[in-house]
Amino acid sequence: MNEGKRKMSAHAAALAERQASTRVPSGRLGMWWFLGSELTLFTGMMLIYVVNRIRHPDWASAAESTWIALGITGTGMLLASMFTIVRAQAAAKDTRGASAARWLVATVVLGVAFLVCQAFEYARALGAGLEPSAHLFWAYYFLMTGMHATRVLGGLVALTTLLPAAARGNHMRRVGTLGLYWRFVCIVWFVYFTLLYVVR
Amino acid sequence: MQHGASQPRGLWRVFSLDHKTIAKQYLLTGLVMAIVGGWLAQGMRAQLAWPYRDFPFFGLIEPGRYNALVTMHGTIMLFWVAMPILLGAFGNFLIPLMIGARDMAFPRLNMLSFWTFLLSTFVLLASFFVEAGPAAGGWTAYPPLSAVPGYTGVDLGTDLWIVAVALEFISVLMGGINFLTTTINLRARGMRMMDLPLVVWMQLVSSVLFMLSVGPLIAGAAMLFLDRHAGSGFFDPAKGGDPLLWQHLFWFFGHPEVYVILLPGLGIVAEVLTAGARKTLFGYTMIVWSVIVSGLLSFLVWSHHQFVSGLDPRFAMPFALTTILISVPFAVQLFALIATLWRGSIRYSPAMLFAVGTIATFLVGGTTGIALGASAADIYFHDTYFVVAHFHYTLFPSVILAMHAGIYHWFPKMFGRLMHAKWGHVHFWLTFVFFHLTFIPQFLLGLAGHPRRVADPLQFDLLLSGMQPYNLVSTIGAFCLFAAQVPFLINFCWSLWRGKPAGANPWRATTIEWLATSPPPHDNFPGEVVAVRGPYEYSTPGSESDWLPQGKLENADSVAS
Amino acid sequence: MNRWLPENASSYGARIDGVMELIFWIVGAWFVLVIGVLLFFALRYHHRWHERAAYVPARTLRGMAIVLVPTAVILLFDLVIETASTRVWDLVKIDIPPAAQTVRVIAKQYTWTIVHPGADNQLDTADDISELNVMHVPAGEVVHFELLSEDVIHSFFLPNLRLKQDAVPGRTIRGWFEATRPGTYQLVCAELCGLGHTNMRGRLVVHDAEGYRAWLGSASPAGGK
Repeated sequence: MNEGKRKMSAHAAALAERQASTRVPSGRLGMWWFLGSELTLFTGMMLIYVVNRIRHPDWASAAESTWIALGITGTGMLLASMFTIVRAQAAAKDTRGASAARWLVATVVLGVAFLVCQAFEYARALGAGLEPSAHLFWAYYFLMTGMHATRVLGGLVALTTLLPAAARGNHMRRVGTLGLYWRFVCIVWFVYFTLLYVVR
Repeated sequence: MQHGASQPRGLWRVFSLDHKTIAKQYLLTGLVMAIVGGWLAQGMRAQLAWPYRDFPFFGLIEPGRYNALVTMHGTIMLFWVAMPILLGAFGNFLIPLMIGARDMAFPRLNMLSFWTFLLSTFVLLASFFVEAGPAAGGWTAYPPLSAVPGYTGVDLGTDLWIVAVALEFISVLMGGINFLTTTINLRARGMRMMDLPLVVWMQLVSSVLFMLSVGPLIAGAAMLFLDRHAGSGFFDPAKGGDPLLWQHLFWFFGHPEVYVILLPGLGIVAEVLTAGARKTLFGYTMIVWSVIVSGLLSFLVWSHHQFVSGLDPRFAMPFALTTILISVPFAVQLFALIATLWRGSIRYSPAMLFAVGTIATFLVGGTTGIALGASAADIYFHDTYFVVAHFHYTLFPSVILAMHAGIYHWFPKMFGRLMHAKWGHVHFWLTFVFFHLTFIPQFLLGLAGHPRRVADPLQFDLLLSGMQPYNLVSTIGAFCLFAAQVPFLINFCWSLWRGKPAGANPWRATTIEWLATSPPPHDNFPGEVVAVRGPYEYSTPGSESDWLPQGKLENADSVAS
Repeated sequence: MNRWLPENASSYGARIDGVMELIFWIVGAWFVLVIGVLLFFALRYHHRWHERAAYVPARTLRGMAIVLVPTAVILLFDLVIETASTRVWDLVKIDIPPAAQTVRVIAKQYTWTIVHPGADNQLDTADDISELNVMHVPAGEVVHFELLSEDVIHSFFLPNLRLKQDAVPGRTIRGWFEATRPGTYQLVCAELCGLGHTNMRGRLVVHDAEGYRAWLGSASPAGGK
């Protein structure tokens, strides 16, 4: 009975595999759709911020009190993590599980380092009285970086969960899919970093 | 897709990965919430007919509670009835079956989507029992009203409202990813995108619209939350913010959302109409493209909700123009559905009655929308009962009537039994008549200048003298409309156990879901499904029978090798 | 339609009513036509009278014509409505004519404070006349209003004048009207503004020239004392 059921489901899986109507694996396709909705969220926030910033030239003085050195350090972490995730994806493509796992660990470490930088920045800002209620610039600062940080955190959780399986050479495709997500999160940060820290 | 082996047992079966079970869970939750939402409307209507009486079940409805009723009725009907039933239930049930797949592309995500939705439901319902009651700032939750507890007298209720809506959005987002991926990747061999049944197309476009419009509102919800709890001033002019920002974010989502709800309803109507009229769909390609065009246009119309909001009046013209333009693709869709009846051979099952009733009712909603989209007329009509009547004339057909069409039509496939047809007819006529009795007076009240969301119409002595009988008629209509759903509920429950066994294809319908047994087993089809022709081959010339199925089953063993 | 609309009392009200009427007739005629066709099909093609359906997939442009042509005509009518409506919109909301006086309207949960300029016809002077929930204007004169809100969003709605404008905190929104007919009319808050929303209403008193002078005399802080 159980045997029969298992056979039946293996059969179903085989059918489903044959059935795929496009060459893109479902996981990757789903990720693209997810990124589409994420893109509207992050561009939406960006546009609102940009319009406000243009309408309020006085925000420039508030923006000067961002801790740019720390921002650059965090950005460097994400930049490096983009390199490591690409290596992990490449390894996963050749099903070199151990290598992929090593690069994933590197990515996770860099991601955590980024969040630590963020935490320092938050602590300093809040300590200096630069709260969301202090100035609308800081409200946007916390909104945008906070939304982004939840994505980094989500990415880190997903990558960590994937680690054990990846080390055994399983779920190699998921490494590629998550890599897509991680690179998206990094690119969003580069844009936000430019807007919040660099532009005067 | 590789989950067949791990079917849970016993009570654990509620955590099903099967798209059909998840669809039924959505349907059940949605119907329960429809009763809740409809019940709230009874309180509103009672108050409007006889202000400040001590009503049975409701007691005295003071203005604060009235605002809560208004808010929760709107919120529940849109996000906890329309979305779970039209997308959650019908999308989940129909998409895999209609494209010949065994399940969704991501069954686990699908299950997660439902349980997130259920959690959001409990959060929302919990808000009825907290101090000061549920949110009372309108379903649009315009700040500063919604941003400062003192303005509505509701504190925790508003927070729960925001959390519940956010959870619901996340749930729909997960569903949408699933719908899109499944339809693109898991179609039966031989089925091109332009062979999809129309309702699947509608679900696709809906999902895309939802996913691409909801992002900014999620950011907006975060802003509202920060304004409420971190003292920020995104929407507070005293701190440099702008209350109108919320309206932009809300309606940039809110208007596409209208179509997110409308399109699946029209899709259901198309399926029922073709089967009921034994006729192929008129202009399939034309409809699909007009749906896509209306989807694109829906991102460009949002400010027609804000003509008199204090926005620069020069913005009105372009938005009125896009609004008028969007009526064109919808005219195409409705005319095509009507033309589908032309020279058909119509059989009136309850589902068919509801489908035709949907079109007739929606026509009123569509045409009255022109009066609101024309900026000059909207100066007067905005925020009056004319608006209330208008959007009920669009939402009631696309949500309630189309939902009933869908339930009567696919009940046999869901549960293996037919619903009682006679009582279905009774249910249709009562619903149809009492709906119009409820809302036609509201158009006239709107013309007379009756503002919406007021708890006591008797106070407007200069404006509304002599109009109270209209409120009374509307209220009686609403009571009867609610009561008219009792035959449906009884029929539904009775048919679950006592209905006539349906067989695989009681309507002799062409689409692929009817190839499966009723109800379909966990893996849906006994073999591989191959699509051999378009979805609506009814009364094809040269064929003896008046229907030719879209797909055929190939022997399971021969493809396994 | 005129049976239900409240009596018009403003210079541009008739123009707005005209747009409504235009829409009513165009859209109404279409609605009757389409619903008639739908009903006819629904009855005529009952299977009892029409045993086998025709096969009309309408795959060619020619086949789609019976849908596309009416749609094109609708588009044309839509543009007519849009043009008429935009003209009136511009008249009411954009091309603001010069006025004899400016009245300030301050919305606050749940009252309207109306500041009239008084005898000197200047706001923010000692003889301003502030009234709660009552607005006084002369008939036949253009009046400007400045609309403010001190807390949430309200909406200044004078149904008889066909005038509606949201009051938004942080903005001063200017508009105009010219009341044509002396009388007392309902002022309504049309945007949900909280617990007392339903009670937030007032009156607009339109005086003839003589009556206006009499009111000005009796209500002025100088004249009253």
